[in-house]
Amino acid sequence: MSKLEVNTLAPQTGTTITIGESGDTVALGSGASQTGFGGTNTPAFAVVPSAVQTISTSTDTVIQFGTESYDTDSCYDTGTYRFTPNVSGKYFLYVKVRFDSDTDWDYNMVKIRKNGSDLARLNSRNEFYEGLILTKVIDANGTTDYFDFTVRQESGSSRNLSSDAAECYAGAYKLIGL
Amino acid sequence: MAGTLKVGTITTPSGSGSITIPSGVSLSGGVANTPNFFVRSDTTGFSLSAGSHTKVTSWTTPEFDTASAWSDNKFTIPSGQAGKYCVSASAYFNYTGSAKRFQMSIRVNGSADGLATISATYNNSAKISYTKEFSVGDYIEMYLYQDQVNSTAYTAANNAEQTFLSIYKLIGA
Repeated sequence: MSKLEVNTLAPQTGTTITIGESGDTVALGSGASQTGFGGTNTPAFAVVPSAVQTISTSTDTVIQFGTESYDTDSCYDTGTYRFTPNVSGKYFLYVKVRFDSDTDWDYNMVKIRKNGSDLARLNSRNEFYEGLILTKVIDANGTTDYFDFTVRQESGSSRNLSSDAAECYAGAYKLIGL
Repeated sequence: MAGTLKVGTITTPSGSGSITIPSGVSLSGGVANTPNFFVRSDTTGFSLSAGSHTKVTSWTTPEFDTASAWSDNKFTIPSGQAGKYCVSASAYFNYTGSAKRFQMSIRVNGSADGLATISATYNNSAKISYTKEFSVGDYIEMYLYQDQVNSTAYTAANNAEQTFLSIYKLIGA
């Protein structure tokens, strides 16, 4: 067993350091942690409404999640309500909404959008405060791709989204190794 | 060859670029979404009375519980494991009548934290998925509720595929 104590490990030439060979396990010691190795579920964010939002009938409307529970890399904009990851890769996104109404109507839809185009949709009747939750694994380029959430209702009149943080929320985190 | 490498920094000469772990090499000890926990309900469920929030206790043995954090039908954030977690859950309601409100709630330290409300019309399930920052000792439970006006109790959580609780820690978040 050998022991090497250094402060900086750098390649003799080039810009790549290779650790281990195929079949090896590169293990951190008990209690040790690593950062910046790509092995973190970040960027990550979680947001909730900051106020009651009124949704006009038959109109796709960007959901205004204006309060951040956390935003590890400042990738969520509370002005545009967009998540623009600054690291490329795949992310797990989720959104949940609920209209503050016990009235029944036929059509609600929540969407996850990428750069303004639909990426995932979920539609449902509105029956007695029923909520909608939608999840999706998405691919982001880490520079310009942005994601937001929209909701639509066709009740025939304007309806309010619940401002309860337990009923309306959204978030995302980066997946590792994909 | 076995060995110990102690370094303060592993970096490239330029301070940027790539440090590569070759294909086929795995990295362990810190890069894992643990604690990681998953439990399902049994196929019997329980009788859910109208008008009262009832804690789900019909859980089976967890399929995995890396930190042994599950006890007394609740998941408790273990010592040294504070941080952000992803919580996903589903609850099944065995109800085929006209629509009425059913609700599954995730409670943290006894207070409602995440709510999923459905209008069950035919054996529907309420689902939830979200992330949250937890402190050591915070405990997470699932409660169910229904408000049928006829005060009838209905069976709930009797579908193992549609009644579950999943909790895992995010890395570095």
